Amino acid sequence: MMHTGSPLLNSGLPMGTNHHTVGHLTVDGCGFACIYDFYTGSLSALYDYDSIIIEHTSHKSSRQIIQRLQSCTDNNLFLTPIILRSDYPLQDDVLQTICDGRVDSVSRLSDCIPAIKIIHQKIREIKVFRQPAFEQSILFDFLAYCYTRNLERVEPLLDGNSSLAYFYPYISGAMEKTHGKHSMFPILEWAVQQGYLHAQVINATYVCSQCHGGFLSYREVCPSCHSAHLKTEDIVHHFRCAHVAPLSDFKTLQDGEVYLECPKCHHELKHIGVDYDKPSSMHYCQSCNSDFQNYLMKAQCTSCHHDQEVEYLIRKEIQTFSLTDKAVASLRSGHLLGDEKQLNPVVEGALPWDLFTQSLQFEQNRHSARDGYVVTLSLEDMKALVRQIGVHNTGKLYTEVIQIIQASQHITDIRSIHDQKFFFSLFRTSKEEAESISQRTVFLINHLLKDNLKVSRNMVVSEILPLKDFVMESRPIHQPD
Amino acid sequence: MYIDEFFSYWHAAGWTKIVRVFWYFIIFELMRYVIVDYIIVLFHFLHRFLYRRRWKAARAMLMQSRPLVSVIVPGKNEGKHLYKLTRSLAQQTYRNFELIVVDDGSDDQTRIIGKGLEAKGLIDLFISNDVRGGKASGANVALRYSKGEYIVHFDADCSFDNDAVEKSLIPFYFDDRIAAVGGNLEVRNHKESLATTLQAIEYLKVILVGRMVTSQLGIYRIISGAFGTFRTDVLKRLGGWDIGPGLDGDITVKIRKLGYKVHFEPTAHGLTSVPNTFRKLTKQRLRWDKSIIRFRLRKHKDVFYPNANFRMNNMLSSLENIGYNVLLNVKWLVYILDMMFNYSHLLVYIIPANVIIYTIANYLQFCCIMLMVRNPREKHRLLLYLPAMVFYTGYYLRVVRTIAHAKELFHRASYKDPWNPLKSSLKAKAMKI
Repeated sequence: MMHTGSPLLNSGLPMGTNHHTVGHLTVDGCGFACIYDFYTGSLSALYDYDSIIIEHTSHKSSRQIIQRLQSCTDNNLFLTPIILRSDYPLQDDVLQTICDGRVDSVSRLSDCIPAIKIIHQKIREIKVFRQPAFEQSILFDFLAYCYTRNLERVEPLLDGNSSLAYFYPYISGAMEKTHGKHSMFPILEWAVQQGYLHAQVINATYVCSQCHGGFLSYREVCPSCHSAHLKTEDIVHHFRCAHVAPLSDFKTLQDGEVYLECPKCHHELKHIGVDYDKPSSMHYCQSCNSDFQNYLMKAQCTSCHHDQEVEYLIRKEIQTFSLTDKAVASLRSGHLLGDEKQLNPVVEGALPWDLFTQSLQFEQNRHSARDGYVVTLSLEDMKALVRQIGVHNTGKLYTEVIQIIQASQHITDIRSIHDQKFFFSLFRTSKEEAESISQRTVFLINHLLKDNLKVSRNMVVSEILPLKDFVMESRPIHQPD
Repeated sequence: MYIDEFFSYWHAAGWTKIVRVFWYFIIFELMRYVIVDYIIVLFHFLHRFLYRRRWKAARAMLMQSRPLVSVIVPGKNEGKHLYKLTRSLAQQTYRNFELIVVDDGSDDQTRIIGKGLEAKGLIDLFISNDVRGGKASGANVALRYSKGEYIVHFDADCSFDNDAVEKSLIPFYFDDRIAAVGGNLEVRNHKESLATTLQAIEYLKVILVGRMVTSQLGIYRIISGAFGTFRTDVLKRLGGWDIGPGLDGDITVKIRKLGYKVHFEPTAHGLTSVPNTFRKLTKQRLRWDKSIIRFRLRKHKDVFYPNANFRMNNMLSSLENIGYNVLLNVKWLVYILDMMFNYSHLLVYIIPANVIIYTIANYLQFCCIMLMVRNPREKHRLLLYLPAMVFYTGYYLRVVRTIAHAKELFHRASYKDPWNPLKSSLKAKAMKI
């Protein structure tokens, strides 16, 4: 055992003197970088070590530094084995899962050497290359991590510090870094679909429609003003005179005692079931004074603060994963053998914008003398609509709208979505017919929105342009000379 | 030949005998249902014409003040009708209303449907009671939570002309002593069966012309629960509806007792579904007819007392109802017995003659109806069924009415009617209300 250049702790670790210096240690031929868990120095200083040993001071700091290390793909730092040095066994399940071992003193480091060697052996078996898309890179790294750690089953852990409330090794940490811009669900779903992972459902949860956060604050709110300042009261039905009112209407104070007297017939209500019953209850909003029986359930995401009606929450299955032979083959070849289009799905039935405009131009060139129109549909206040349903439900809305458009068109027509607008062609169609189709489509989409999304007004605006004009307008942008 | 004999007999009988044999028809039926109808209907048109500017001004005032109206729809197991009702209301020319639907302990999908429509904003307030409390309690809970200046009480299975709500509100601005307005109802399913066709004719006679006449005479006595409009302050002062059956007539009497006027508005038009079999119809009519005894003769007998609250038109209103429904029923029995004992050998001439004169009277009355209805061509089909009305009103309804009256008079059968929950009926019986 040898150490260089740094003061020794009681544990025997040669540590940096402050939060950004690195100590060095070699045990049985393995080079260890020694850092505190509050290390803020450059990660490049840790590239050339066989393993990193972290002096544990708190669970929070240790998790943060490990997640920082595992988010760094440069020089494959995320795969480097990590050992925690702590006097006491780790109480945090997540911490236990994301590190590769714990020692209480430097003299026990040699116990970790076989595991470190196995990890390095596994790392050598695979080729870690950057993948073309962000999501694919994340997946590839996740597969590499699971493979090198020899994880037969990747099990989620219930975790109060993860935005989802469930923690998956490596991938949860990597996704936290994107601050809700990306979600691991589509990546994992795609991996299962492509046969890289085998999944088994163990639970389900509802997540935020905006960021897939799992920590939601549920409460009943007034359907009119969305205030949570509510009061609930039983309704009383007086059999004798059929008077029905909230309990407070019947309460009468006499000689300091409260008793029930019917405000209609002035008879005392003594026996429930004989004189009266309570058929239901009503809620009263103390903010806007409205009465209602069916309150609105809302859930506010504690991660992104998006406040949504519970019907827009997304149900997600919590699964355990295991690597398939295809995953191992991909790791060894250095690239994923899947269909990239499905990872970043376009709306079914809609062409990518470039292909759409090119097809229109092609059609214009072929049939320049014939009638043809392009209809543009835009939704007023689309931002508010997306806020209401959540970004993760927007794809479903697009699919529904495209289906309506498709049903209105001829079989040879095409459609696309661009910049939150819908475009569709009406080849070889007269102007009158194009206007009629456009009106019908607008009507149907407005109906779709009103029936499903609590939209009370017409939101869809349409514009019809002759095909040649549309091609002329779209050419300078997409086909620069 | 019988026909020759028949005509020869009546030709030879002379007027004195004809009056003696058909006294019941001449005194009660011809006078009340034909002659009076024509006179009053003509008077109604004249009144509308003379006051046309005032009616116009009343409409302008309504549209200027645009009061909030609460449309209340209490009912049990009415979920299947709710969407259609909301569509019908969405077409109304008068838009400033809130829709309150009360589910009175339904055991079908009403709660789910109602909640769904409320979530979509098609119903403003949906109140679902876990246990049934009866129609009155359903209406009262809606009244308690209504915010409108006027209450429009609808049945869920009805649909309405797009100006029905507006038309039912105008009378309040025509005369501020009017506290309640009854709407005009016709039968929607009149082609479904013989029972519904005959009821369609009956509704035209009783509701359209009958109520117009009583309203014009100031003795209008029942605002149908299927379509009635009320001043909310008056309803709240009365504590809303009391236990039924017969709560529609009851609330009308209560309003009249307060000194307010009630008005029938023939132009406020709605359609309702009626029982499609005679079995169901019998059940309904037994309930309705029992309520006449219970409410008019028992609960509101004080309208006949010459005390400080006595009002002549209230007494006449009840008298007309009791007279034509109860007393005439007894007299009709007297007439039958009279004929059987005194003219038993002539029944072979009397019965066909009765059928003929009642049929002629029905056609005469129907001509009056045709002057009133909006779409007379659609009613031509009903002309074929007018002869059957002799048996429907003259025999079937009278028999049902007689049974109902007897049951209520001697057994207080209305308290056992499952239409009302037992818990309420027991209380009402104990309190003799």
